[in-house]
Parts: sequence; structure tokens; C-alpha cells
Amino acid sequence: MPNDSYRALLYRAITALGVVLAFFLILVIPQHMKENSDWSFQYAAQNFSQGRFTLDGTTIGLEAAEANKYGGLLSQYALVGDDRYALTEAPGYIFFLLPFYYLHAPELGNLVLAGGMTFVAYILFKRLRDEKTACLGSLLLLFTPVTLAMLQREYADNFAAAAFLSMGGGLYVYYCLRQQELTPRSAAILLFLVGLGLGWSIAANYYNALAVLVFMLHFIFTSVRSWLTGRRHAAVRASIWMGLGLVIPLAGLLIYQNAVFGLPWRFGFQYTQLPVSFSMRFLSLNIKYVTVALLVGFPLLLPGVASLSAALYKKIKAFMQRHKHEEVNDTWPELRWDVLLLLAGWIAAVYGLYLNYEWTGNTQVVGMPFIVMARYYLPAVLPLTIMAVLLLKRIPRELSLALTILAAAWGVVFFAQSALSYPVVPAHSPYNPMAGYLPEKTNGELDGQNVEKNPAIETFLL
Amino acid sequence: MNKATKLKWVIVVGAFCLLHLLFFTRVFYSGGPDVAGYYQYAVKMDQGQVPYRDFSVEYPPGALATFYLPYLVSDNLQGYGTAFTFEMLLFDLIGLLLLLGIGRKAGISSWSCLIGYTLGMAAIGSIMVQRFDMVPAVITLGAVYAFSRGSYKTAWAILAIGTMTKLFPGLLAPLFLIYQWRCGGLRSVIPSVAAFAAVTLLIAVPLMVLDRHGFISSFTIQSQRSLQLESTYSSLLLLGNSLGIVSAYPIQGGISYDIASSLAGPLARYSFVFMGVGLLAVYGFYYRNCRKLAKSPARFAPDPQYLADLLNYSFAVLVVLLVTSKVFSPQFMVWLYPLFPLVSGRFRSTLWVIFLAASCLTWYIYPLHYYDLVDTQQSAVDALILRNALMIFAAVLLLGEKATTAAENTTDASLELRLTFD
Repeated sequence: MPNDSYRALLYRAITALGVVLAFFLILVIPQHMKENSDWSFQYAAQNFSQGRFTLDGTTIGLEAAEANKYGGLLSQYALVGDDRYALTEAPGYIFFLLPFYYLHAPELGNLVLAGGMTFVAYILFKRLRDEKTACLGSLLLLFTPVTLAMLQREYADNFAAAAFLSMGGGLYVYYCLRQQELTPRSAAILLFLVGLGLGWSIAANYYNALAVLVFMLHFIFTSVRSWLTGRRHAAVRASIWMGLGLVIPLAGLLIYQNAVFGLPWRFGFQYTQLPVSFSMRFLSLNIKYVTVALLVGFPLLLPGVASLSAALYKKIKAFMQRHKHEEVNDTWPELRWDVLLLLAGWIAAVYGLYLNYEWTGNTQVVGMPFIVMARYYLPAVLPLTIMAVLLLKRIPRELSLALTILAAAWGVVFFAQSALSYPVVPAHSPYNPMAGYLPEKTNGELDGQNVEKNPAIETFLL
Repeated sequence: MNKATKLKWVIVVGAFCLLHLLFFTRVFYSGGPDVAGYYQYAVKMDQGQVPYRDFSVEYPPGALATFYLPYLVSDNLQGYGTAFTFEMLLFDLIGLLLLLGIGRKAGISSWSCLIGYTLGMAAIGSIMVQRFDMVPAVITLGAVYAFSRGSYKTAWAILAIGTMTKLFPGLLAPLFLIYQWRCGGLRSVIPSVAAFAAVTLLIAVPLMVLDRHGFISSFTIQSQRSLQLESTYSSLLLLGNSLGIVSAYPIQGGISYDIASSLAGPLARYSFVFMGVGLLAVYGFYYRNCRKLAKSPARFAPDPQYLADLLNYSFAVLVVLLVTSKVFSPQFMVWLYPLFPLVSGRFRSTLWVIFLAASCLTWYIYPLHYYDLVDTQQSAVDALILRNALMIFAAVLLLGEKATTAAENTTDASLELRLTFD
């Protein structure tokens, strides 16, 4: 109907306008190097662009001194062999960033990913409900404070790692929902992109592997089910295309690790001296320190969790009724059981992991801006937004409207707060998470003769 | 209700009472500087000194009775602290019983009342036993209880006692007035207002005779305060500060930590205007809501529908007061605590979540991270902004809320969830 197509066009235009507004916001507010990871990735981009995956002590010392002069630390670089220093983080984002770095426009890297993520979210929400929900959902996803704040930080890998996972994961959920309608060719392309997105998300952040494992479990389970129901060709074809997509970034990662660390199975975190381990003993500390940061950084967290709980409750209730031979009344028809569990698993993989993270369970993070702690939880932003938006479609219209306006305004205000509060924490502050690793004095000189005396350099030469 | 059901409810209510006892005596930290201050007042009164005349007091007379009662049990500070905790527990349990009575009358499920009340207590935390605000909050509930039974004069008399304990219960008087006026005309209001005036005068006159200035200043002292650190206005200034728009930093004031900023003075002055406008808006909405009442014959007690409306607007009055006041101390959350399980309507679940989240954030800010807030550390400032934003959002929702009738009300939490999400 013309009326419907007009409305669809309107919602797409609003979404596009929202994306432009978000991009405008992040470009118009000045960007600062916030944390040490930004500095490390900036120097990594510079080094990778010159083909240097590892550096000798003198070079890293000069770079560290230069970063130190401007208030940064190359804490994500570590000694990996005889006079060889390398990035301890996964390199996937740097490799993605390189073309933009060569173009002298590194900020475009995140913008391209944001565009892709919004597109995937839009088609997924549209499939889940309708065009209006798609507009609402994709804009709420983009205007989440943590999304905007990390989108702006062109050298931090958090946004990219979350965007790759959201694109891969979002397309996978989309594939699951449309599986019966897709042509073999479309399914193959879609699954290849799913594999590429999920694989690259691991290459950009090792810790995304847990969330990807949830997708793999779902994929294996559904493939086995297809196999058992006689659709063996479809299952094999799906596995091949998905596997092909996954193999490309993961093979690249293994080649990089072999070149830098000597073995494909060795990775950067094995060399880091930063407090980046995971343990259940940090759970209560994380709950204590991180909860407020999460509530501020993800305004849809509470509605999302409430929605997830309600949906699971309803599904279980409907499931129990089935056994009682009573009328089945599933009030969450958009979400099949397996898709709901997949989303719950995705959220649990991110929150369950980082709520046990040593670094954010450290007393030194007390008092830090929300973004310092909440950014780790960005990979779960899409499933949370899906759940929250599905709840918004079920509550009274006035409440839904009020919540949407509040969430969007909250996103802009707290993005601005995060972007404008610079420096986040002065380097000398006891609240600086790196305070324990900071040298007592810095002279900030780049003079080669001072290299040996520069404490920042000495840290690396130890 | 048959015998078995009665017994079941006695056991259930008893179990909840035990849970409250456990929290008050084992989980919450009692004592603190305020309780020590109450103890000092009690010591002076015991020595025969007359409040307001012989020593200055920043609390109304009803509060002094609350402070003196635990002193009858123990005259040392530690024992006084324990007795004070039990006094608060006693009021809390009275509140629980009143809540069940009102809930039954308004058609709100008893389970819902018990669970909400207990969740509220756990979320608000130790401040329940470190301040005396439970007393005026439960007295307010007592007034609402009497009103719900149609005992209007008693309701107004209890409201007067509440007002003489802490001023805020008096803000419910216009709601009572509007209801009675719309229901029975001006003539039906006069005895009730007379009861309110009589009780007020009975308490106030002797003390005014002793020391008029001291007595009056116990009420006006709060109005002379600066913009308190946790107020909505302060959180806006702190947000502006973090955005680089305005400069604002906490300072030690006479009674509490306040905010220093070029805008703090004007905001403190105009906060009364904002408060007045906000409260008038609630009264106005309630008046509009009661228009249908004029056509109804005068009745003995409010219908469940009108009672539910009255409960919603009573809660709204207090929320609006908190978000527009220039002072928002952590114990003010206790004022809302007995009323929040009685809120009904479309946004009920949301309001529950907001109240519980705001209470937890209040606890997070005070006492857990208060000096982080004074030090303007970002996470504490953000927690304050979030708490106050939630409270403003609650106020907006309450103004747009339509209470549900008894028949529409839910019988248990799961059914409510189903109604919300179906």
C-alpha cells in the first residue's frame, strides 16, 4: 500500500537522520585521548602502518616517552622476547583501521562500523516486529551513552569489537528468523557475513570468544537438528559458509600471533602485567563498583533485564501449560525459544565474564567516570536493546514515549559528559587506574640522551 | 474470610514481621551522629530543660516525643540507640498493618503490599534506623488509613500530629480537603479542618507560650538553608559542571553539605516557586479527577476507585515535594516508603522499579559514597544525577497516571506481570 511504503520511507529517513545526528555529535565535540589503551592503539596503528608488529626497546622507549609527555602510557605494549615489544591486545581492530589510517581519517573506521551496526539492527528489528520498531530500536542502540562515547574514541578497540559482534550476531539472529524464506544463495552470503563478523570480533577482542561460543553452540544445535530432520545438505552448506567466514579473520589472527609471539596459540594477554584476569572473587567487588556505571552507561539495562525476565517467565509458563494440555498462550511470539535463549546467552556471556574482571573489581576504579568501567559491557548492547525495545512495544504508549525520549536525551547528555570531562583522571591522581604502574617522576623529554633516565622508558627497559 | 484463611494470613504477616525484625536488628547499622543528637535532646529534657526555651531544637515538637521515648528504656547512648531501633521497628510494623488495611480497602493485593513494603525497607537500608523519619511517614499512613475508613475527623487529627512531627504530612491536607469538598460540600469540611486546627493548637500553643521564636524557628529553619548537595537543583548544577557549562562544587554548610555555584543562590530562592507550581499542579490534577464526585451522593468512606486515586496523588505530592525541594536528604526516601506499595495503575510496575532503584542509589550515595560525592568524583555525581532523574521521571508518570479500580487491581505479583506484559 502507498501509505505503508510512505511510512516505511519516513521511518528510514528518521533513522538516517538520527545516524547523521549521532555522527555530527561525535565529530563536533572535540575528541581526547582518554585512557592508556587509546594511546597504545594509536601507536600500534602507526607501527602497523609501517609494517612493524614488534619494536625494539629503544623505539618503544622513545614512543613511550612521547606518549608520556602528552599524559599517556603505552601500557598495552609488553616485552614478548629478547628486546622485542608487542601489543598485548588483539590486533583485529588495528588491521581494520589501517586503510583509514593511510587516508589520514582514522575516525571513519568507527563511523563505517556504526553505519553497519545500525543497518543490521534496523533489518533485525524490522524482522522482529515492524518498521517503526526498527527505527526506534536502531536509534536507541546508537544513542546509548556508551555506544556514542566509544564511537567517538577512534583508537579504542571497544566500539569496533562490539560492532563486529553486533553485526555478526545480529545477522545470525536475522538468519535464524528468516531461515525458511531465504534462497540458498542469500543464506550462504548471510552466513558468510555472520562468520566474518563473529570471527573478526574475536580478532578485535579475545574476550568476545565467549559470546561467539554461545552462537556456535546454537549453530551446532540447530545444524544437528536439521541433519536429524533430513535437511542434511542445508546443514552442510550452512556449516561451510559460516566456517569460511569465521576462518578468514581467525586464520589472520593465528598468522599474526605466530609472527609476533612465535606460536599461533600464544597471545598477547599471556605477556601483559596489567590486572586483566577473571575470577569469581571479583564478582562482589564488580557489583559494588560497576553497577552505577552500567545504569548510567546503559539506560536500557533495567528495561532490558526486566523484559528478558518477563519473556523467559512467559515462555516457561507457556511451556508448562503445553504439558498440561491447556491452551498455549505465548505472549512473546516474536522470539522463538531458541532465539530468546541465544539472546540471553549473549548477554550472560558478556556480563557473566566482565562481572568477574579483575581490573574493574579493583579499588582504584572507585570514583572513575562511568565509561571507564561500562565500556567493557558494550558487546551486549544489541541483545539488551532488542529486549528493551520489545518491552517498550508492550507498555502504555505514553510510558514508552517518555522512556524513549528519556533514554535518547540521557544518551546525548552522558556522551557529552564523557567526552567533555577531560582529562578523565589526572595521571598523578590516586584514582588513576594506572597509578600503581606510573613512574614517580616524568621529565617528558624526547631527547635521545635522556632516554636512559626517562622513568617511562625505564619501565619498559626493566 | 474463613478461619483457615485468617490463620494463613496471620502466619504470613507474622513471617514478614520477623523478616523486618531481622533487617532492623541484624542487617541495618543503628546509631550514628543523628541518633546521638536525639539522645542529647532526650538527656536535656530529662534534666528538666524545656525545649525551644532552654535549648534550641531544629525539629517540631512531635519529633521530641519520639526522641524521648527510647530514653525511658535506657539512659546510656548505646542502650538508647538499641531502643531507638526498636522504636522505629515498632512504627514500621504498625505501618505494615495499616498498609494491609488500606490495601484491602483499595483492592490492592495483600501479597503485593507485603512484598513491596519489604522490598522498600531493604532498598532504603540503614537510614531507616538512623533517623526518625519513619515516625511521621507512618503517622501519615495512619491518617490515610482513617480517611479510607471514612473517619475524616480522626484522619485530620492524625495528620495534624504528623505535621507537628515533621511538616511534610501537612501537604496531604489539600487532597483530603478536595475530596471532602467535592464529595460533601464545604459544610462537610469544616469539622475536619477544625479537628486539624484543634490538635495543632493543642500541641503548639503551650510551646509558643514558652518560647514563640524558638518554636517557630524549628519549622522555618529548613527554609533558610542553602541548596543542599543532593537536591535536584544541585544535581543539575553538578551535571552542568561535568559538561563545562557552569562551575559548581560542594561546600560544608551549616546543617549539611551544600553546593556553591553562581546559580545556587537564585535556584535556592526560586525553588519555592517550583515547589509551589509542582504541588499546585498535583492538587489541580486531583481536583479535576474529583470532578465526577460532585454528582455522587456523599458517602461514608471513599470508593476503592477514589481511594486508589487519593493514594496515587498522595504519593505524587511527596515525590513532587522531593524533586522540587532545595533539600533532598537521604532519609526523605522513608517518607515515600509506606505509600509506594499502594500506588496502582498502568505505570505501577515502572514506579516500583523506579522507587526501588532510587532507594538503592540513595543508599549508594549516602552513606557508602558520600565523601566521593563531596569530592565530586564522577561515579558518585552520576549516581546522584541518575537518582534524581528517576525521581523526576516518577513525578511525570504519576501526574499522567490513572489509578485502577479494585476489580482491575491485581491479586499477586505474577498476575500483575502478566497484565503488564500481555
